[in-house]
Amino acid sequence: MSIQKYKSVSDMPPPPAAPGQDLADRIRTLWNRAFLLSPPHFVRGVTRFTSTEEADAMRAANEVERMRRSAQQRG
Amino acid sequence: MVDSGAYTRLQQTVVERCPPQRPCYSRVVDALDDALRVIRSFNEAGVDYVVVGGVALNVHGLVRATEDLDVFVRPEVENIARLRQALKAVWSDPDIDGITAADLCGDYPAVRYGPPEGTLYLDILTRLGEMTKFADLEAEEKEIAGVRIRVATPRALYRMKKNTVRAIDRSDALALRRAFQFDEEDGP
Repeated sequence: MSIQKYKSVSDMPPPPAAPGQDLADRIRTLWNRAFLLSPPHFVRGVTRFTSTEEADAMRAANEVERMRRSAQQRG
Repeated sequence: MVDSGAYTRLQQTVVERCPPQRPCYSRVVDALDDALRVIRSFNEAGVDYVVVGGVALNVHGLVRATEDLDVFVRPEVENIARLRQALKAVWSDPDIDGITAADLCGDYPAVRYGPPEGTLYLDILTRLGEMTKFADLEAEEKEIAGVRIRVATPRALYRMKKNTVRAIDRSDALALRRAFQFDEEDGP
């Protein structure tokens, strides 16, 4: 792959897909890599929200707890 | 915005109800298959749904990681019953009975379901504030790995995401605008 130069990160196009990879393969590759790096971490069961803002707040709380537990595991 | 008291309660829920993290490298995972299994079950049960959020972006070719499957569902008693049936076909979990039309058609337009196993949780939505209702949602049919998916159009996703607070939504909106050459002001 030749070298491409950009003046800003925002100008950079998404990386090209590997030759022969269809969309499902591209999704699989990225998602599975993401789950290797950061294992699933979410509340089990049913949780009800009065608004999507509340659901987003719980997602944020979940991220904080994920980081806290990861830091704990690393010691 | 939720107030700090509500946030503290949500945080407590997370601490109490999140099981310990299990590293994925110890077992085979296929997150896409997890999502497709649910969508296939929706199709088979005749659920009236539209996939939105991160999974929808991926379906439109904007590949990014996500750990939730956001689905808008038609807020009708029979449809929510079909939704429960579809989820029970994937997971044998009595908690699924807690997903009710009384909530989704009433005071709780967003219900999150964390299955007992798997890589994804589901956000089940019937409306987004006063802005987006199921009946108004522009959708189309796509296919991924042989599974038919009813998904919000790129323009509908852009409209949903462009004025929201979350950074990831703003980033998604920018990616959609660039990929599909929308005007910045393209709004509802």
